[in-house]
Amino acid sequence: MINVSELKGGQLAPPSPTSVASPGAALWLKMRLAQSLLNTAAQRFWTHPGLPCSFPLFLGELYSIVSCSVPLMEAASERALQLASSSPLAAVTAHYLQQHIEEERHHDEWLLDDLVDAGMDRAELLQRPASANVARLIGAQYCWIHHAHPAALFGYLGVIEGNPPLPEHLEEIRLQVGYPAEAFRCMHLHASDDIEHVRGLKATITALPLSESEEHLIAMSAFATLEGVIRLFEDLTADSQMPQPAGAM
Amino acid sequence: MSEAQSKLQKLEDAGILEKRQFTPEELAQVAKISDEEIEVLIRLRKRLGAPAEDKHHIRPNIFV
Repeated sequence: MINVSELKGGQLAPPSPTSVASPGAALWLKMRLAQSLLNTAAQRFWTHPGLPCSFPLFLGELYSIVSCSVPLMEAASERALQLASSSPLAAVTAHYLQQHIEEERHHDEWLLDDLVDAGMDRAELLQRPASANVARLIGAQYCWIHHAHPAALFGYLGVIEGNPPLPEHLEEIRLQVGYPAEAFRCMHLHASDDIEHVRGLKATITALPLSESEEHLIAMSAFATLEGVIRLFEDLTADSQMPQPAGAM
Repeated sequence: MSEAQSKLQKLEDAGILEKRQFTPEELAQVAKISDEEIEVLIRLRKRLGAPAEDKHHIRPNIFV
């Protein structure tokens, strides 16, 4: 395996402004369309009457996703480095992920601390396996990373991180569910940091050196992520309407 | 109606595309989306039902 710093020349140059007709810009537009659907699903979830019941379930799913995030990006980065000498797309992917991994590192620990401060059980959160919905979301990415191209992960990141919350939205939710401010520290950090992360993600995606098939792969990853998150929201909403066993998260 | 216009119309009719949120250049790119991708988006829109009115500005709050 080579290190990304050993790669030559322009492969690792930061993304430059691109025209709206570039393959990467077309890909970003598809993600914008996906976001409009995700907004509908999220809007339903955040405004449904059972939100106080489903919020702890959401936090459990959120913790699962966040704790899978850095290992997932590390797997993609490692695979991208293996391919980088022959794939300009892989080189850009590795470069982006190595930066983003450091931005996201330890967020699972911070979120865990927040959830414990909110009254959730640390040991239970750590021992609980990811749900089938989270496994579908994350597992699909491992499949594409290892059996297609690690740049597929841009589709996942574009949907998951493409439209971060504003602090006022978090405060509205906090008041609605009646949780202490301590439970939202990590989420507020993300709300402020992710605005900048999205700019970087957009600049990278719109400048990706994509073939037609690579663009289709990343779009497929984005749409699959969209469908997975919609299902997750639907199931959380449905679960809040069912009687919960004692001690259930 | 051209194929490009037909695609844009399909997306607009399904409540996926709000033309006013895109520049003419962006709409020209959106019109190049494959039929398969349009079908995926329309299928998901049907599953979700109609979008909430005037709620497109609201962020999804996935925050991961």
